[in-house]
Amino acid sequence: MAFHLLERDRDAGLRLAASLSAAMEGIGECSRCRMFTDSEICVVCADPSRDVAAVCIVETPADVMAVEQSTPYRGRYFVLMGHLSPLDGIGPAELGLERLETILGREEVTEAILATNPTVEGEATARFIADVCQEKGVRATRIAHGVPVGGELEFVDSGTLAHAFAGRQTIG
Amino acid sequence: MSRPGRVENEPAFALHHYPYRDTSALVELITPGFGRIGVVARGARRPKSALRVALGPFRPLAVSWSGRGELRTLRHAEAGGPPVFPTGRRLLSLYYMNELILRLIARDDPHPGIFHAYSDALAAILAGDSDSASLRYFELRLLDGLGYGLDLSAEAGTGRALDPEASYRFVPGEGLIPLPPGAGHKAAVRGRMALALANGQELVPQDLEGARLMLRAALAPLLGEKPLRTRALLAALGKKGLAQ
Repeated sequence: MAFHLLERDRDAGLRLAASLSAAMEGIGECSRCRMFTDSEICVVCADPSRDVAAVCIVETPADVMAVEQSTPYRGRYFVLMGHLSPLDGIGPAELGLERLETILGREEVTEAILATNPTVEGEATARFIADVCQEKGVRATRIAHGVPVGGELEFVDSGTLAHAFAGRQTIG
Repeated sequence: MSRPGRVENEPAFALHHYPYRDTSALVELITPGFGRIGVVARGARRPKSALRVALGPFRPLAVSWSGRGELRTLRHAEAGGPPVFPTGRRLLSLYYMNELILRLIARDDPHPGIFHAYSDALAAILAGDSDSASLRYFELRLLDGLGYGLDLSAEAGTGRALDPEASYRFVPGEGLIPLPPGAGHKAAVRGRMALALANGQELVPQDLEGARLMLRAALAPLLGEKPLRTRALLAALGKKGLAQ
């Protein structure tokens, strides 16, 4: 890419450099949910039409975009910026769980949707936060794990299929 | 015969992994025949990668790799059971074992005894046995495998058999030294507890703390100055009362 810009499009290269530099200097964390933002509070947290009763807890800012783009969810978020990882020295403090506790302690929050990844670390993080929710009297829900839409059972890995069976729902 | 540097279906457990390049991972494995090894799992972070199972800790694996030197290339990995999702204190206990292995065992130094000790402790903890007692036996077998085994059946120096009713002081590198009767010592080791550990018997609940302190003292010189991260996290969670 560097050669292409040097050879053919130096203007675009400069524009790219300017926007990258503006992003690196201007973008920080939302003081409420830890999402990337260029102001004090991110657009989701600042939007008065959002449902304040629900908070969706995710590992990364990219997860917020994924949920925003593909679900009808209209509540707020909290970004952990990682997951519990004892061997990397990542514990509750690094995940901003104190701030999350303050948010869960507010009266308007009634549901915490735990949307961490279905890995050992993500699951442990979810269970840990679920304990905090119980303490605060907030209902904790976990996103379902299962067979991908349009997938075929025969080709689904055994772990996912086991999860899908454990989480089966009544139909009709 | 297989080509040199090529290993097929070696039992293994994944201890830890680090992201590597866009979609790959570096995985630390423990195996019975090759000790702790580092492998590159190419593309393992892609959702449909067959090597993805190698990223999940605490699950028996069968792995095949090729190459020699510091980092091998993982070619195949298969899990011998469903994924497990331990939580809370139990999870930290399991990570604690992983951290001990990562800190104390050098790469490419086979210790089949330690592999089996890990596998036994893991199975016991996942099955719901006392994680505290399982960890003590793991630590004991780890020290043994590393060549720092403790003699818990006889007094240091004299070699006299331990008296179950007496109290001892544990000195790393030496062993158990008798304490005069009635002498109060905060880290005193009860003879009964040391003998139970030496014979692989079940520890009574009131001996768990004493055994923990003794093995902690035995591991301290090997671990050096740098604190264990899992221990720090357990202490932090314990304060909040959330490490149940």
